[in-house]
Amino acid sequence: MPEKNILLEAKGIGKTYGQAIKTIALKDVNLQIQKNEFITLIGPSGCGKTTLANILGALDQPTSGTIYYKGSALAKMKDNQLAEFRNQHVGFIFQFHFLLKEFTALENVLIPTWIKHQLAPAKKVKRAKELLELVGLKDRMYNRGNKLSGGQQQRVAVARSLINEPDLILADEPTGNLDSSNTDQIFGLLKKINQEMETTFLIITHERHIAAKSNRIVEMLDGEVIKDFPNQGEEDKQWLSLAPEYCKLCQQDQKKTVNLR
Amino acid sequence: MMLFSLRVALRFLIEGKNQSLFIIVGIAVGVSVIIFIGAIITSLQFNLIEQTLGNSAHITISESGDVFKDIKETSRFGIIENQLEESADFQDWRPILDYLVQTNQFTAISPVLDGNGFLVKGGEDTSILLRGVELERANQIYQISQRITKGDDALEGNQILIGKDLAEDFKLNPQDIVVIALANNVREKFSIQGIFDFENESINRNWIFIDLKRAQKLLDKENYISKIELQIEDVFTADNISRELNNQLKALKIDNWKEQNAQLLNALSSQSFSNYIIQIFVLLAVTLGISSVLGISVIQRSRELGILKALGIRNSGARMIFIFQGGILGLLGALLGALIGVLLVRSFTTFVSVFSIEIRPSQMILVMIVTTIAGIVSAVIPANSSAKMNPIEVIRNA
Repeated sequence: MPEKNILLEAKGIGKTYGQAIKTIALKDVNLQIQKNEFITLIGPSGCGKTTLANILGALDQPTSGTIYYKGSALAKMKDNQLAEFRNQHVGFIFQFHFLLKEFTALENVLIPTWIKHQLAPAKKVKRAKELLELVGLKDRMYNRGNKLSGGQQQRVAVARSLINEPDLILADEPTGNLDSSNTDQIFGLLKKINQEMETTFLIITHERHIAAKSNRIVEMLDGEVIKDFPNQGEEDKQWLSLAPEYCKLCQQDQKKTVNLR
Repeated sequence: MMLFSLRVALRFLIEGKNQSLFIIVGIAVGVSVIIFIGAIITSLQFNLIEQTLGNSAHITISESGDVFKDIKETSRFGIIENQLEESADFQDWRPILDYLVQTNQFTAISPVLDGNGFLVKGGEDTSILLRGVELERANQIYQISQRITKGDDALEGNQILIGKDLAEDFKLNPQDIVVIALANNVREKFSIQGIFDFENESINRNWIFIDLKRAQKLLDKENYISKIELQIEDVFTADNISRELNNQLKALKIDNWKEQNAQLLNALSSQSFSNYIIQIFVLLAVTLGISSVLGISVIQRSRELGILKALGIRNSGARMIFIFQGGILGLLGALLGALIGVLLVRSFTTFVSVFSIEIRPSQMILVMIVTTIAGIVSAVIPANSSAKMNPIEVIRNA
């Protein structure tokens, strides 16, 4: 693909936690995200997926390496510019549905707009309602964040990530809390947005059938990208059949996550 | 524009309403103490000043008392003897009076001619101060007419007004006739027209009011007065005003109450000082209270702050959330405190007080502004820690 289509590029990203005892979370990760891609990021727990997503979204800073957004280095941006970047160009959907419990579902969806404009223009309010309708929460719009079920909160978070029409949505197990029909609905929705609004997606997931629906799969292990390939039917099957070890890990992981919840 | 921060601040305060309510009541208690003590001290001082100065001149204008000047001036009129003896009476006071009236600076302007003498009744006598006044002008300072307890306030010819204690000592009543012997050997009969009560024993025993013109005649001081007595609106400006007067009326001697009451002033200012100290410490306690509650709130809200930061709120926006909370808590606490303060003062006036307590609106507004500012200041440290919070910590630890 031509260079100008690169939305976000990670060059030699390393991340180390801790002062005395160092934990290496990421080792020399290189990744190019093209415009309008629908990528899934897979790998066992603790392999650095979330850390990478947070660094890509400028929530966290790498210990080494640089992230380039449309060619400009995030490392050179000041705090306010990074905040603006997160607000306008990135939409986050976290693993644990992070809503502000003091605000209603509709207000939670509007928060990124409020941060940007202080007040929400009427058309944004209308858009927020549409998005909530889209995620099936039309009649829960005025419920407080803490008066919604986990799945409902996650769907509000999806709507929230879309409100400022970002270029890139980083979703960390967005359907981890949802049942399979909800999961399919959400993914159908994300896919639709990907096609209609040309929004780029990077989705961390454990679910193979989700990964199977994406058009690129990036696999990580121990802080490194070990596979990165376009998902075009054939190769997909090949990958799924060639990686039984990973699938085992994958299932263990899911059990672990379920237990944690 | 920090509208979003304000919105979040309000929502946080409402959501944690018990906590908000506690700290608001805490601030209110502090503010009501400040208002209550402030009102008591101010009113106490006001009463003290009123008692000390209410019925006396704030500024007096008299002859300078320079003997040589007296001789020079008075020799023209040939009354050297008198001037040397009492050295303070002066003649050309009409233009001065007109000038004083025209300045519009004075709430009372009253020319007086004083003369010493003895009141004689039934073989007994007592020294008195005969005060020649223009009743209407003297009323502006002494409210004589309102203080008449027996008889009336007419002052014509040989009619005089005497004090309550003098009347009791000599068993005098209105319409009684007394003899007064003056320093210049004049002895005259006077008719008591009324008896006044100044709530001051020395005045009630010594002062006798008489018409100015009649006094001038009796004392052989046609057209003379001893001094012009003045009152002003704000008693504490007496020294400044008397300085101005001194520039205008160089030949005359200008005295003001501040020079003569240094001790009282000293007492008042130490009282004010202790009042300020109390207020500052209460304010400090209030500030620390708000600060610690908001400090805890930052920790309680760290999850929310992390989300807001991930969603792109700037550090300044995160800081303002707590600055607004501090300001709002301060303002609401101050409003409630003002209300409690007023109720305290009201009930104190109704049930306890012997003097009237007044709350000055300006003082209340000042207290409220200061408390709101204290709320904002106390939010600075929590606000900074909210600005410094790293969203990734929150998201990782969720």
